[in-house]
Amino acid sequence: MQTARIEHTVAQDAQDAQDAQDAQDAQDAQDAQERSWELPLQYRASEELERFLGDPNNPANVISFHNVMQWDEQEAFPQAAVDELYRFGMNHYYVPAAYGGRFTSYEEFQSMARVAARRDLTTAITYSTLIWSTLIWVGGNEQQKRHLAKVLRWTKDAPTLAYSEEQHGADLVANHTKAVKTEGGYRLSGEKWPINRATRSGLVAVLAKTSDARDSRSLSLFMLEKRDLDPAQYSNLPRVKTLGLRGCDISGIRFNDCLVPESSRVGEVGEGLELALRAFQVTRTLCAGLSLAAVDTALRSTMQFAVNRRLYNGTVFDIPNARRILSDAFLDILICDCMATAAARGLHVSTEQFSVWSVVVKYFVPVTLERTTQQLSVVLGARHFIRERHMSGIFQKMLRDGGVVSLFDGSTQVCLHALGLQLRHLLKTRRREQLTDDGARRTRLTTVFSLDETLPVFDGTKLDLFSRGHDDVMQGLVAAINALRALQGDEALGVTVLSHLKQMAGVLEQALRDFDSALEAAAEAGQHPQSALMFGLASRYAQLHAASACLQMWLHNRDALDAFFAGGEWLVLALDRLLAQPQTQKPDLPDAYHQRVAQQLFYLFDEYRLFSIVPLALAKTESMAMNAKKEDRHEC
Amino acid sequence: MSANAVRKIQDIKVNETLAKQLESTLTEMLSKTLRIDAAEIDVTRPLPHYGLDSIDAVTLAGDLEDWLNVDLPSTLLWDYPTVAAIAGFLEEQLDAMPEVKAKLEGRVTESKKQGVIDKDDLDDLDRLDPQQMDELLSNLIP
Ligand SMILES: Cc1cc2nc3c(=O)[nH]c(=O)nc-3n(C[C@H](O)[C@H](O)[C@H](O)COP(=O)(O)OP(=O)(O)OC[C@H]3O[C@@H](n4cnc5c(N)ncnc54)[C@H](O)[C@@H]3O)c2cc1C
Repeated sequence: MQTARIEHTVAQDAQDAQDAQDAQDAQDAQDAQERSWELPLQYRASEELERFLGDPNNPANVISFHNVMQWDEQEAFPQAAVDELYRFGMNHYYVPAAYGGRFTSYEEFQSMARVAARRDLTTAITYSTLIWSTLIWVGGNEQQKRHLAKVLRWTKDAPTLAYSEEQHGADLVANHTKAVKTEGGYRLSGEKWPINRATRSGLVAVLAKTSDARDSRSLSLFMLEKRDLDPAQYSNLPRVKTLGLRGCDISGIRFNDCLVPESSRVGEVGEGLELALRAFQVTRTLCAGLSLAAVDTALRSTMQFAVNRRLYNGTVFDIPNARRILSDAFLDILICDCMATAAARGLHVSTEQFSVWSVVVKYFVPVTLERTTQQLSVVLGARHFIRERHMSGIFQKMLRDGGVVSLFDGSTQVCLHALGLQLRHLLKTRRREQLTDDGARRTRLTTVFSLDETLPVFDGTKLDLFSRGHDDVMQGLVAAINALRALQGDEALGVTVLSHLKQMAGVLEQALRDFDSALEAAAEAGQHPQSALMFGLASRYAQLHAASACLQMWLHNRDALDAFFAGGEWLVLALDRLLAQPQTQKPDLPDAYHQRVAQQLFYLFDEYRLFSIVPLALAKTESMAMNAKKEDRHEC
Repeated sequence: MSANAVRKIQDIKVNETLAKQLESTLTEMLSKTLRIDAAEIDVTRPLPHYGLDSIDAVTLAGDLEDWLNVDLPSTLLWDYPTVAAIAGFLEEQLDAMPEVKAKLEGRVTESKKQGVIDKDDLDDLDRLDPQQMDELLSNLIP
């Protein structure tokens, strides 16, 4: 008994000493934070946009939570917010540099969109219809490109995407809207609904049947300018009421034998579906930014509550379970951030593979982060249900608005289906090529993952409907694991963390083997590509892709990003979060890792920085910030 | 899958030219993808008619690419939407790829050598359960 107690005390002392050491380490790490890294250049424009838009907590700023919530309550179109983005010149970032615009990379673009969307998803989703210009950049002729560049840069006309019909959603080939050839152009008839910004936009990208066959070459794409049309030949449909995005112009458009000029056709006759699917590869990838933005605000709003709300002699943030939910939410963000950032960069590098990458991202990020936001509502408690007061009630708006991301632009189901169809090819190619050290792939992966590498100019002609079994992120996994195994602990990376990382690499390898055999079994059994099993496998593939993206992002940027990132505790937990299944054999991970993540979360919250692997500086109003905190304390 | 169907496939394999060999292999792939009886596939009928949707068609072009080990456009089946049209396209392409062609022709000869299934074997086929039938069929597909 006696000995046991002594042992206990010794153990306790050791634990205390360890805790003190951990705390000291954490402090040192934090001190090193500001010094040790520099914001990658491509994130400067986002910080600039942040400063321009100002602190959303300050009602004096146009896109403030206060105003945003008022517009939402009134279901008012956020015109002032849209104008504010024009005032910054955001429209120029939708036009490639070659056509006089400021677009340089999807990484920069996505980060800027995230900064705008963290204030209001309704505004961001309205504004972002400018992204349908991608159809022209990818498939238009020189004249169309030059003209659209002019329209986007010097007017406030925006394109809208009119694909869906009331009777036909995802199945585009089943569309009814027709374009019949006539002298000088086409006669369009049919109805598109529900369409975001249909009534207010000046340009309409329409997919219409140019042949009666029900096949993949029966559709052509048109980019119409409403001002060229006879107003008697088309009409806008009434706005529909929606759960989220209540200020958006979700309406539709009807064409009544409407004459449209020949020059409005984009690409060849019959090329519509192909173009639509190729452009989706860009936009689906970028959807991740919207989800990351929504969850950033949801987490910030919850933190604002959790660190100020006092109960049981502490704060909500002191309750271990609440803190764990918060730090896990932050982990989800880091995971999705790694995946989304790699994909935004990958568009420039592994462009041919985006029939796979885009659906992986479009499935995984929105679904994961919508779940994360649901989890956060548990911590925010009553306030998540209230449409005012705590940060003007922005949380529940983000929850409602954010829900649309997994649904439009190729729903979760559509993405899993498309991914499932390619799994067999992905497995075969990975098996065949993973043991060879492909120099070209290695170079591509370095460009994709090293944030300080310059990206090549995006070339949309390389977008292809089939990746031929290639997915660099997954094909690079074996090499990444080998690189991890060769690492030695250093100043930035503790030996314990490294050893846990190496163990998690083993878990990852096992998970991949299990996945491969499950997939082979499914293929042998001739599983239906839309079966629950295939969807489950596609989902698992996306998780493995995420794990691989996290590992490679870390390996390539240990020196480029902050001490928290380099420390690797988050990565151990991220891999654990992605891979663990009930039967998984895995190491016991110390609570200190979770504490480290929680600490970084608090630091970023307190310092007004984005919850991200690249925690750029957010706008703050000095006096406001103090007041907001005090005010909240009163209210809580 | 009836024994009749198997006989039909086998006959094609044994007796026909490269174009037919291509057609029969394509028919097999399709019947697998679409889960319909190969005998039901008319080589001159547009594939969407059998329920092959746009992205299925892209994946199938990938299967063909794998099988022939040549680069093919991913929209091949959009532009050549019947079995006969695809086979015709491939045959033309193969003229420019003597190596691949020789390999395929080798296969044709090989299957000719194996001879026709005799009557007794065909009766046996009728007694196979669906799984055995599947196995047999997958052995027939190159
Ligand atoms: C707010 C909002 C804005 C929108 N904006 C636009 C816009 O700007 N432009 C535009 O063109 N459309 C827009 N849409 C329409 C949106 O893209 C449609 O939801 C989409 O076209 C799917 O149509 P559907 O929901 O009617 O479902 P359908 O496509 O008819 O599908 C019904 C259900 O079948 C299942 N399913 C469908 N496909 C598959 C598959 N491949 N595999 C497995 N299961 C499947 C899914 O469960 C799906 O929910 C918008 C919708 C909303 C709500």
